[in-house]
Amino acid sequence: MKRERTWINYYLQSTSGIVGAVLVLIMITLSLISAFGLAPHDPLEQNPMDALQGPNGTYWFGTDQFGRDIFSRSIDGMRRSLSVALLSVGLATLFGVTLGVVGGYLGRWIDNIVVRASDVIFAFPAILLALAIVNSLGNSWIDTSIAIAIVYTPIFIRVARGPVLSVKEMDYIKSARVLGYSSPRILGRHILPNVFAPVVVQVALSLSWAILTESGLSFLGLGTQPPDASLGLMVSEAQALAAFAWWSLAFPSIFITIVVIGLNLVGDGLRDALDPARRSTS
Amino acid sequence: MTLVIDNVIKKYPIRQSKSVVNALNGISLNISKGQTLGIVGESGCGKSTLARLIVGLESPTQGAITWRDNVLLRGSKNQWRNHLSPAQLVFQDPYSSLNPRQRIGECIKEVIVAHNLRQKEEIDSRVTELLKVVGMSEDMKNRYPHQLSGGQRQRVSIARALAAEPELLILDEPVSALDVSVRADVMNLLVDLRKEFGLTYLFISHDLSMVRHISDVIAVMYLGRVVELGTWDEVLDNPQHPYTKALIAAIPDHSQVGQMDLTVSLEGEVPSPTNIPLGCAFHVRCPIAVPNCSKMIPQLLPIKSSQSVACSEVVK
Repeated sequence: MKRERTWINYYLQSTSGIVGAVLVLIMITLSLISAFGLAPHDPLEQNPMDALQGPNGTYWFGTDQFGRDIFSRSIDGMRRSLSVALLSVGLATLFGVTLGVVGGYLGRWIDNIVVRASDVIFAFPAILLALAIVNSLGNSWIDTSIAIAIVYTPIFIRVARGPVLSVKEMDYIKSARVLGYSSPRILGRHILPNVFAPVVVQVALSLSWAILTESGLSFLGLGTQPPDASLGLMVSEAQALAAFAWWSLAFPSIFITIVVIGLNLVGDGLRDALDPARRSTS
Repeated sequence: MTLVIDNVIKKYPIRQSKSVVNALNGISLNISKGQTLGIVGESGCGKSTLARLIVGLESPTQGAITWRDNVLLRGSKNQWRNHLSPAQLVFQDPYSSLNPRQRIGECIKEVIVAHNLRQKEEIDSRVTELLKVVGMSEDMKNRYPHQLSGGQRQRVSIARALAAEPELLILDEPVSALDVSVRADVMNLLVDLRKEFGLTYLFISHDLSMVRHISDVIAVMYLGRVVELGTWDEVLDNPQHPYTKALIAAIPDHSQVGQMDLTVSLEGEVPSPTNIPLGCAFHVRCPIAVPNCSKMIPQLLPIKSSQSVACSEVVK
């Protein structure tokens, strides 16, 4: 029998999808280098003698006003951003999909509560709500992740609930009930597979938003605190220096841009690959 | 009697308009084992609601449905949840009744696995056997529903229902979505299966020629009530209720369905089930209505040993 083409085959046909995946993989690799302590310099080590050097052989991205290596700080900031993004989007996916699927499937008052609660969260601008939550929780990366997770959970509720609502009216779900299947079986085998594709796409896109939100929070002085490195915090600190030390602002900004573009391209590629109607060749 | 539908009423409240859809207004029917009861009527007359009540997708507002002394449904609890009901349903639309992400073999296998109907090593041969029973070959197991034709899908639906080893099969317009060319095949398959497994059928259709082909007894429904009941030849060859007559007369070549020469034609639309006319629900369209028809709801009364009619003008 001819082996059927999976969504991975379709994904690999798209150039932009491959570019996105490569960008994201580069950033993940850099983060891992930092995580295992293999960065060229200690991101916190101050060398006042070497302060405000432009990019050179020793300091590839130059140094800041304390003589700290901007490359090492950038990849450490990337590690922190990606950690926050993964944890927050992971939590948001877990709770959002569970609430959305359960609410959509059970309907009635449970669904009502879920929808109303997510409407309330939706009513606030994302960054303001995250600010308020971080303020009341604390500044650790876990607190930041929880704050971002709360902000993005309603998006996952909506993404998961929509397909559930349309699928649960299909005859094959009724037929599953007539056949006496248990609710977990119906949810797991007949409803969740239809939720999978939109959720995967949403995860990729939300990761990039989460990175932007984390950077925004750190830029505003919440989230990551000095002397730890974070891309947003580095941009914030570099504002004053940008006029005479462009590298201190440019490199962290470029890192944010690259990872966000990469994740967006991956999200678009996944959306095309997972949706049979968008597959250009079949 | 094996299936007894006793004075079943089903109302759907509509919250927005504070009105009520009266889908079934007191239906009583019996089917004996091995028999086929055909139910005919225009869309909106409550045929499919009745099917959903029997298989337990919904509960009746009032009344009871019993299968061999076991109450299938009573009140709000569906006792067949997580259990295998002896009544299974084949849906009208073969395109939405199969999970598009499930292979045919998996679809049938799931019934057997979910209810532990066979030993592990027997499951695969059972799936093959069921496919054979509905006239499909084993290599269909790995196909997805979108790779099958409407007729093939409907065969899979039937095989899936049979996997549950039902005694009663409810066929809700099983062939109306199919091409005319494959209708006869599926109908013949249903006739064969009934004989082979001793099944009892409830066959719902608006197509009288299909009903005639398979039914022993026919019930004609209008706005949630049975207006005429009898053996197929009585109802189709010697219809008494003016609605039955009109239904048969509406078929372009009705000599193929019944033997009576009819020229009745109906005027107007079916009234909305949220606002059923007082008295006999049919009186607003009835060619033989008298003023009294709007005052009393006619009961289903026997005019012969096996034929009953709900019309005060006919029974009089």
